[in-house]
Amino acid sequence: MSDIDAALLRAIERGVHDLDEVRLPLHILLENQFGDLNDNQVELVGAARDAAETAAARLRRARDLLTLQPAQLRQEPIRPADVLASLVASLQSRGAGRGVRVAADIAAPLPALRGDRIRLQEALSLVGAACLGATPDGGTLSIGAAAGEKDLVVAFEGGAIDPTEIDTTWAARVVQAHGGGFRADGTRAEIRLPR
Amino acid sequence: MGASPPDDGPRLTPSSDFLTLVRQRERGKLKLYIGSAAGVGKTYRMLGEARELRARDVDVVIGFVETHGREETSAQVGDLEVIPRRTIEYRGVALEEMDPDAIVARDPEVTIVDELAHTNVPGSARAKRWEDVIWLLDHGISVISAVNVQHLESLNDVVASTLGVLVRETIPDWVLGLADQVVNLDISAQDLRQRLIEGKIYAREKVPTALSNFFTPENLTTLRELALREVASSVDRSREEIVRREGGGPAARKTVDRLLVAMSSNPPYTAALLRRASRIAGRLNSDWYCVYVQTPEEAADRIDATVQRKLVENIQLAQTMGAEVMQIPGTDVAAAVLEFARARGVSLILAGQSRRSWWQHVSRGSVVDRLVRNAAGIDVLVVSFTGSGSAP
Repeated sequence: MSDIDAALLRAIERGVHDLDEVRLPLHILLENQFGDLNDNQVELVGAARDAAETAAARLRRARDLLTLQPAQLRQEPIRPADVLASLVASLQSRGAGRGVRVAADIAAPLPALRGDRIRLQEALSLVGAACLGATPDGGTLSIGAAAGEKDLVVAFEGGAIDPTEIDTTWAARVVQAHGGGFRADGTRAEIRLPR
Repeated sequence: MGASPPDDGPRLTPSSDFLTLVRQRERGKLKLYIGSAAGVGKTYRMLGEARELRARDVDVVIGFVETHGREETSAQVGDLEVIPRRTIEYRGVALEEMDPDAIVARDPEVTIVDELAHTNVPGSARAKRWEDVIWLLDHGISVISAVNVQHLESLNDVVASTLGVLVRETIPDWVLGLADQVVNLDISAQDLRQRLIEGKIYAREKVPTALSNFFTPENLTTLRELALREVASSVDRSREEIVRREGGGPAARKTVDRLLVAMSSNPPYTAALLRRASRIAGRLNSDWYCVYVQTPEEAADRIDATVQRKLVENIQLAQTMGAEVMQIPGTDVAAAVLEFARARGVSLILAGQSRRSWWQHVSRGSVVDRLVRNAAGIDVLVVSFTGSGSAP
């Protein structure tokens, strides 16, 4: 780790700790440690805690991005069809509220992969969620998956995502740690995972 | 980052930190109980399952259970080993939290972890309990956990718009996708409200507010439907991997998305159960079986004529609805149903909630309980009914 990365890591850890000092009293209030809050108090304190938690989550993601080591990842069999079925169902459910249609074109059979099932599932979900969020209301998010000679390609076509957003960057790093690649180009985001 | 070449960054190679890989234990299994709301009996059933596992010499501990002062639930804890909670002090306020480090140090085969969507006390190693659960799974410890359907992230907007309730603690949907088995505890709105009125869910002083705010018939019916949809979606997952991992050998050839209704011969609610199964099968566009296990006590020459007539009616009803009806002999109904389900690649079993008395449970055991406990790799939907055979 470079000196700059080490300094960034230290600043992030400090930021997480400082946010804990904000979150903790709010948590105590919402846990009704001093009696029930009324609805307005719950609304205001809850919104403040949510904002602090969102900020803390972004910092933790940045920390994970800096500290991700391939050796931490598991090498286990993964069935992409399972991962994608779960992802598509989730995105369809989330998209329905905004009138976004999620169309899936999953070639069968897809080859089994090896890697860290949980981290890859999370990474794909983060990219999928980012693409869904970027898809205009009433639009269509298309998800395609097909096997090439050397890799499995999962493509999302909907709205243009910001590839520097922290969740997407972390997802890309996870994919790269598996020997794969991530590309965001216009309204298309593509993940390649080695077979 | 317009484009990132595949060889950027660290990557796994066959030789990368081989010792780390060697030392990695097999990941634990995750079983999830889903309910439509608090009070449907998730914690009670998890504890019952823990007791059953212990009776079968499985090393099981309670990582975290919140009884909410419910007597039945507290009694279920009994003498099960409970990992002490961690205490956090902040300006004179003591807070308790699950202690994942202590669970890993204890190293059980299985741990019970209630309230999956819970937000940990700030300052904890991980922000959310579901992250703790993943950490436990990474350490090779299997977890049985529970969550209410409104805590699923993808349903947040739906719940907010249809119920007017903002749920702040959520879990990402992909966490549900990790579950090796999902059990949906279904209970009618009427039954749940009755449990609330009887003080079995919240303290009595909170009951009137709960009845008029969250626990309205409309809200509970909506949540019940959402839970059902989630289970229907979750069985989209193939079970081949689970079979392979459970069995430790090559995957058995399975046909996914088949469901099965376990039909009793004494069926006040069988018709409603069949209608429920037919609806789910329709959504999944899947085949479904209706299985009746004929025990020796229900042989043709011994069964009560009235019961026999009702049984025939329900078999005909199931056939009308498109089920493939199977009558199989057996002395252990749960075992026979599960054997059939595994042989036919069934991924979801529907069973009616047992209406037996406490004494019957003790003396004869519950078929539903045994189904839930032994259905590794198969999701189970436990449906409860109220009234006189009305559809839920």
